[in-house]
Amino acid sequence: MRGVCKTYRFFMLNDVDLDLPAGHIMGFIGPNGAGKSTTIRILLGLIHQDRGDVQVLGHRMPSEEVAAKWDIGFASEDMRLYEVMTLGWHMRFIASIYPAWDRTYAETLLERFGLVPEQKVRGLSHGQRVKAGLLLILARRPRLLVLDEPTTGLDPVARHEILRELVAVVRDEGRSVLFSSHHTQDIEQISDQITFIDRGRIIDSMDKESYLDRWRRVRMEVPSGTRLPTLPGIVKLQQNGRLAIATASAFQPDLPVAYESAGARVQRIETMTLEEIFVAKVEQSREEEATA
Amino acid sequence: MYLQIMEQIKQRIAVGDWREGDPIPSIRQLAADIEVSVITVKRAYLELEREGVIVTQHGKGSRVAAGTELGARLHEEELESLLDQVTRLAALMGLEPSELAERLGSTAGQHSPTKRRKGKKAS
Amino acid sequence: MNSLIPALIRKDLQMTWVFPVLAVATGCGALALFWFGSQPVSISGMVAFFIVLVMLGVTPNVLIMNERKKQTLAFVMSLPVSGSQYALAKLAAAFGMFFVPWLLLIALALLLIVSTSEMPNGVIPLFFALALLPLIGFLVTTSVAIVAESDTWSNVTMGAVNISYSFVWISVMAVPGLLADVGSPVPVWNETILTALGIEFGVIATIFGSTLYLQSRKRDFI
Repeated sequence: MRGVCKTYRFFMLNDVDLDLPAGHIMGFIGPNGAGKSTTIRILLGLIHQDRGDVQVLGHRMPSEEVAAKWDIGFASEDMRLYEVMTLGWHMRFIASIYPAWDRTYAETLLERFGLVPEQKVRGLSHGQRVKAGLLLILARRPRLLVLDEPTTGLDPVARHEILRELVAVVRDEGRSVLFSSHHTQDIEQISDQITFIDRGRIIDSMDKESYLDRWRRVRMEVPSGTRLPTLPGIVKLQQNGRLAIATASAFQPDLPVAYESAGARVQRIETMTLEEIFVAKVEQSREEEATA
Repeated sequence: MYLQIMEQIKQRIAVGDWREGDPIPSIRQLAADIEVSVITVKRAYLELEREGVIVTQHGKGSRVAAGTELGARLHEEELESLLDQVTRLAALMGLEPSELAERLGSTAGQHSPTKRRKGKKAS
Repeated sequence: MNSLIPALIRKDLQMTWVFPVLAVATGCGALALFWFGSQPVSISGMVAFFIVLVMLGVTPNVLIMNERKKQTLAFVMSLPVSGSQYALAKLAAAFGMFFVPWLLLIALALLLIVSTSEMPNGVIPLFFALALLPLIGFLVTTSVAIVAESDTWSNVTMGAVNISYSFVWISVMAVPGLLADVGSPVPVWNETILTALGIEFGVIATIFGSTLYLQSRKRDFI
């Protein structure tokens, strides 16, 4: 995606740039209402962007949406199957459309997910419906999977089952996955790349390891009367009596040295989980907007 | 997370599951097996190669490095790191090195091979 | 890569075939009343018949509105179809669901009219013109259901169309040229009738065309 913009009455998507190379998994995170679903739907041609270029699997969207959708598998949280029909009916329906339907893999997934084809969709629990929807996508082996919150509302076992299948997809270097989730642990665990969106803007998009590497939490003991300097790359500085915590988004080894020379004693330098980074980043983003 | 992966691989080499020259799973294969991102495994492999634990040949995959006494070396590294941690903690607690040595001696005596065998029989 | 339209049509028909079957059955029942009953019963049979036709115009819309309400639209649009293809498939399915029973019932009714001497065959052109009205009403409600994205619009249209039937029929009956040749034993296709039919077909084509056009211009599907 390049320079994609979309304006709605109460919300605007601005200058979205996104790149996902083949064989990778991209985790898409952002607060509610940030624009994840909109961006995802633009990728699928379900929403037409006001401005900007979108290319998926070599096809321009939305003009070539039909060609592209032959190779894309899409599932979203608010998508529903036909309640009165059985899972088996849905499987036959999809199999009749997509020549790449892998019957053996479908049977394996039925077993792994604990699903029964003779069951009507309306009799399935929420978790089973999500798994059913994913089965319908996975079994036809699309080159790209675009999933909007595939693990939301699922119990840990079901989440595990799904993550396992998603990682199995990129065993093939030619296939990729893009998924959004509120479960930052899931994103942290299986994503190769992380994209952060907030209020209609991409605020970060890069490979996961480098991203996690740039963030650190520095815990210090500060003798009374010592003023800690403002250093570049520090997102937040909390001081509680004699203890201080600095959150760094661009950590350099000379950072703790700078604090020590100002009189503080560095107790620990911790890496941060994606969830902590997420919260810190959004806070920073909001502050910058407020002062701008 | 990549550190954990490195640890696991080192462990398997140290106990002898993978011997020198044995192939280890491809990056993508391992990623799928343990359900983590490819990039994390990639990083772990890169670090391991830097440390000389594994060797990667382009197009042929990775294998355990042919270095003498690799297992022993890894044990040595682990011992060093743990000793480092113990001494730091002791310093924080205000223990003198001689006190620490005493504690170490008695603990080591408890875990001697003879004691261990007796313990196992009881369970 | 084949177009998905046949598969989509088949899917819709698979899920809703009960409706047209029921409609045909009820319509036949109404015709039976008309055929076998004496005066008041036979008239009510005729009325019932037209009511069935009107109802036939309503049920396919349930199918379409449900797709949006029950959120299966996302599922369908994730398949390799464009918005216009989807609309075409829906129109075709709904049309099939309406058209086949409608045609069947019309044919049966015409058969009955022709084979009885009680009803002069001059009625036929008028009957035809009147029978086309449910078809138009159906098309209007269906296209609104496809193109407009809210239940409100669909419901309003349906209500308006149903109410308008009585008005339109009465006003149609009031046109002198139409009733002129009703009494004749042979169907007469006079100018007024032909014009009326022409207008009706024109309206049908316009609705089809504008639905597809409006749907292709849509920029947000979900």
